Amino acid sequence: MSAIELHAAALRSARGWRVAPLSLSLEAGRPVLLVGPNGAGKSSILRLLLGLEPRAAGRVTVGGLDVAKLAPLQRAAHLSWLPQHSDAVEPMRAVEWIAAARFRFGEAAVAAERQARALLAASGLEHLAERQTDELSGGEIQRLRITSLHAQEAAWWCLDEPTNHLDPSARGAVTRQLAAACEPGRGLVVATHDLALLHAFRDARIIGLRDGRIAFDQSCTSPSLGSDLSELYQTRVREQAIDGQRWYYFAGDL
Amino acid sequence: MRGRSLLLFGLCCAGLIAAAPWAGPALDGDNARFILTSLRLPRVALAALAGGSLAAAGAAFQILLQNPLASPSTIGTTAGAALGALTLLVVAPASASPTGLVVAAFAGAAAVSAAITAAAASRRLRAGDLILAGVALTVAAGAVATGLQLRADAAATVAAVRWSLGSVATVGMAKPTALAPIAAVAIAWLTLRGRALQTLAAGPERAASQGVDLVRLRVEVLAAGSLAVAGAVAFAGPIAFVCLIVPHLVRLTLHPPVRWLAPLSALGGAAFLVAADAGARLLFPDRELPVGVVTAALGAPALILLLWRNRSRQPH
Repeated sequence: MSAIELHAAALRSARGWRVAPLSLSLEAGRPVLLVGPNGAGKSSILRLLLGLEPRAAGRVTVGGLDVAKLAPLQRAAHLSWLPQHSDAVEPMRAVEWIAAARFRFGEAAVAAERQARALLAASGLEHLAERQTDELSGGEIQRLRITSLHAQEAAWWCLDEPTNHLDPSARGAVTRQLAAACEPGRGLVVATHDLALLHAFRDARIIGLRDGRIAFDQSCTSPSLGSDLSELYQTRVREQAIDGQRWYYFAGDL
Repeated sequence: MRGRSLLLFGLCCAGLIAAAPWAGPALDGDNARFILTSLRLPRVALAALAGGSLAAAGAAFQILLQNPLASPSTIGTTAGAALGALTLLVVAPASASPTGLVVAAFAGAAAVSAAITAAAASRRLRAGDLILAGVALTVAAGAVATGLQLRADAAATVAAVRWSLGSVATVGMAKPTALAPIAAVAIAWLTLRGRALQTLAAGPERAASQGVDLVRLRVEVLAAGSLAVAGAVAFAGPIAFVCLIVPHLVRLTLHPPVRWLAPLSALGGAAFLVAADAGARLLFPDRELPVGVVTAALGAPALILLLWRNRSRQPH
């Protein structure tokens, strides 16, 4: 099973460490949630994992291979990426959008579109297949973007704030889609502020970040998680059991 | 349904191009054969090749730069090519062979597109700034070109001014024959990179994570686009706006897959420029109206319309 290993890996900006030298081992099969206030380094760690930016120090490996030395097509087989904002400008049909994510396979366009249709159907989105992407709602776009991660078939999924800017129903749909994607052997790293995601996965690993450093690293079932989150966000975090499941929510200033 | 509309589009374009040599003053008398084979057919061929090259480059640049207003004529590539060719025409008229002109135009086009693409890739330019930078480069290139013309004698200046209006007037098949392989290579190259461009169109950062080698794609599209523009500019002058509006017309009418936008724009651009030239011949049968004047007259309002539409468009 492939693992992501960070060996004292770091990112710097002119103002200092964006990610201070960090050693970490992430195992596929157990979802990892990166939490922390704005500017804590969540997105930066994702960019570090993906090799999207030159590292200031250290090494990042996936399945034992140095991410920085992988050719784009090789890297696409190991790591897929859902940035927080879509930077797409050119509208296209949803099915083409999904098919485009299968670039690494180098298959015929017809074959890629057939796969894309099957994936849309499996995600319950077949009704969107022929729609232009600029006609879709934010929730539909996000579910489409997550479906495109399925299309890429990479071992690891790295997602940046996947439930941001969504209404509660769309957020629920995206959360369920992510939970369903959490199959054995798939690596999932999610940067998020959304505490509802903490209990979407059984046995998630929660890594709290502050100023580019790890503040805590524990299981989502840990009894101290609520107080750790309170301290991390400097905001009261309440915990409540509903239908046998623990929910966390922000409940005003400390 | 999609297949049928694409077929219809192809047939319309081909029909327009095939009918164009017969548009204009009636062909009768002793000169009819000469006019048809040595004047009109070559000019239709030149218009088709130049229009196809420009529109394919425009489509690819719009996708590559993630900007619906990007095109060789708005980001300065056409002006760069024109400056390159004009420099050769004025400074070293003796070396202004067709090959020399293409090489000089390519150097100018590639230099400008490389500067703009590098700036866009480094995210130092926002979408609107890109076009402003292109306008600045176009104005600067125009100023240098005007300065160059002051050095030249009267005959060379007149020739340069006529050339800079953009025209597909030609005698014999020499120019179309020389442009054909350049256009074919450039359009085929852009078509072959269609899948990568489609992946890029869903977002550049994601495209990189999906396996697209962004640097290589940028260099290739830039080179192929500059080649297309250089060929068209060297043989037909800097014809404006075909590269900007034709890809949008193709998008609006056909909604084609992104990977087919460049080749379909090539077909549409060929038909568009041929039709513009034939239209000028029909409207003003007794004078030679440079086709660049017609495309600019059509393109300027089209650009304003696009800007208007673009204002209300919200990227998701």
